Amino acid sequence: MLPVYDIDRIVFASSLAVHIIIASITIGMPFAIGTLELYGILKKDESIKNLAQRISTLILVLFAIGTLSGTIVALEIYILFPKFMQIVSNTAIISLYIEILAFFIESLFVGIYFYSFKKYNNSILHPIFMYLIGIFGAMSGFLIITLNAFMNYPVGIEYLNGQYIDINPYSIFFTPIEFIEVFHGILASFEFGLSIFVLFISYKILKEGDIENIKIYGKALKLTIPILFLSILLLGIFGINSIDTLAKYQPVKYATLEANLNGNISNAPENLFGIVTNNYTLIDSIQIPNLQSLLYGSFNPNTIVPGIYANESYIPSINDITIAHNSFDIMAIFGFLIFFISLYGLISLIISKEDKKDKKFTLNPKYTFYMNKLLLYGLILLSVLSLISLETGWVAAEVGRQPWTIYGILLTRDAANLNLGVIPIAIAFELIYISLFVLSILAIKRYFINKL
Amino acid sequence: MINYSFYFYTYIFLIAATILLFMGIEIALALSFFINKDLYKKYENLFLSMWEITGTSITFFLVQYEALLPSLLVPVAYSFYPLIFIILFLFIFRNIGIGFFEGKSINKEYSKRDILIYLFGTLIMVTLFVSILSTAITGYGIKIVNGNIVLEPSIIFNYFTLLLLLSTILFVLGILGYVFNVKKFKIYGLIGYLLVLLDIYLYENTIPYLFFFPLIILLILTFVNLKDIVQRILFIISNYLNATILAALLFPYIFGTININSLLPQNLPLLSAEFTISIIITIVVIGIYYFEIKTILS
Repeated sequence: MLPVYDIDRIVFASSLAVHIIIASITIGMPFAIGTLELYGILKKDESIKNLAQRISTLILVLFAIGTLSGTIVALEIYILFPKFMQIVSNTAIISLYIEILAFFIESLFVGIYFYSFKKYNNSILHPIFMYLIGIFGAMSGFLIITLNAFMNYPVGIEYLNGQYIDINPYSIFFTPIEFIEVFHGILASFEFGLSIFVLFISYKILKEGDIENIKIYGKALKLTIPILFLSILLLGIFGINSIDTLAKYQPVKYATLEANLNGNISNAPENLFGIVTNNYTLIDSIQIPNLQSLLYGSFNPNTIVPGIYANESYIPSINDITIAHNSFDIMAIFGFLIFFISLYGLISLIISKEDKKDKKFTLNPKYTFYMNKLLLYGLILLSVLSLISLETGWVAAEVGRQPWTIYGILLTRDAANLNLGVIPIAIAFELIYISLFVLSILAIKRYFINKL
Repeated sequence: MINYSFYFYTYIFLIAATILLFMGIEIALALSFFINKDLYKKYENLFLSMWEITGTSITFFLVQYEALLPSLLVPVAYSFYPLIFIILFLFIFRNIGIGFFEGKSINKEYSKRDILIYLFGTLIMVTLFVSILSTAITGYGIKIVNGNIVLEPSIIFNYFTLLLLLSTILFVLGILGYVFNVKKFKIYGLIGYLLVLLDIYLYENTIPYLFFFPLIILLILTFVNLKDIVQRILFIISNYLNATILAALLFPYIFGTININSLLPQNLPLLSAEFTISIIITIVVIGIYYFEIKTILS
């Protein structure tokens, strides 16, 4: 039987996993829709403008579900981890407070956008409202990830008279890991949101028989693939930098993600996958000699990388290391795959001519890109990989910090609600919630996607 | 020197008043689908878009509560969790319902069933929300044992909450009169308010004179013909006036007996930052919301 705090963790993690999907789509997709609509208005292309406006209904429905999943996460974190929220309220609440402002503005622009189709028809203000939905969605993300950076590296607080208090409410914005973590997180959400848009368009092209409609969708792909590629490139750069930052400021987490279980060592191999045994030994892994030290120390194999020992206090459990390490590897490997698919898409978009009338499976990047089934299925695969990378990235980040909820300050077992009565209600609620979420996705497909 | 504890105490009452007002408007407009189709058609877009700001206000209420009373978070989480999970479940019901029929409304495809699903979820949610507010005011329905809060079934089934729920229903009908100018419903709003005063009398054995100011406004609204816009503004003023008076009279107690002055974070820089941001939130949200309503109704 799992301890109560582990059940609290699982319930909260599953709610968060759902919320991350929805929130990320409402961060990335508005930029694609706004760009399409803006293009349609500036080029006086009614077909593209109409396509953008039709797809925008998805944002509305997803925003409704996102408001819901966000409120659920906000309430669950308080109910399941009350001690954590107590400390946050005394120290780092300012980011949540400002997040409310961003959330308010985002929701107001959702209303303004959807009820001003006629009023601002052919005005560039209308796509700007859509951009603003995405911008304030991203701002919410920025503020939430700021709180997460504080959990990883708490600064600006003091322990006084039995409680932690804030000595500078704004210091939460100036942790040394803030910039890298926040932009890495936001870019991952942005990229995933865009990839869902690309998935939708690719799916439509594959289903569509009318060449004129396919050309419209093709134009939409042409506008979004470069943005998608750029976001993936930036995501990769920030991802690599975040590993360096991690090693410098969160060495225990770094060691966990890399499964370095023999202390600080030089000539460290890159451990891919594997399982951690009871005596903190990594088995069944693929090891690439020296690679970790090479990557960590500017191609010097003698570089010492951070590691942990089994007998150290406050290191993650064997299960946590296994989960965090494998999640991290999956995220990184899928990240590379995503990059290559988007690069292929970009090259094909640049060099192919728009002269083919038949959809065909071909590796030839010169074949009309929106008629190339390989690329279209590749883009669908890209969005699936993006989803898995997004989720595993967050699993690695959160599980890798265990046993701490706020590093060095609050252990997860102390943060959690240990009331046994919470368990059946929370599990039942979670099952209903996830079932309804799945039903919602099916309903979205039936009522919206199939009709667009 | 700003009295932060009084400011935030009042502010949370004003957020609660906003949630009740918006939910009241939502329910009133949903009811108009069944009893006054013309009115519903006229304000359909407003109704369909309102949940966004209501939902955000609920989250704001939660964050404000977390910021105001960190010391109460643990005992309340340990005792209120069943109620909060039920509210969450209904919130799911309501949001999925309304989100879908707002989406479907773009093609005018939603049905009576969609509105009924939404109404069901919202009505029970309002009931639970009012019950929690009522308990926060009186402390009825909870017991404090060794620093822990113990929840009892009487959290809903006590005279104060039941009367408050009845007056909330009448208040919703009153909204149809005061905000949407369906004259025959105005009287329900007035009766609802008189029930609130009766509730306060039963609880306090007196009715503080301050409550007669909102009463006078409601009497004018009920019996004098005013322009729509004046009527709406006066109604909104009376709503927030009530919340402010209630906060002023109850301060500094929560759950009837707990003094919040001993629970509030004693951290001036944090309180000062929260104060500044709360002012910014209020101004920005009112400004953009006004723009949104104008856009929607145009």
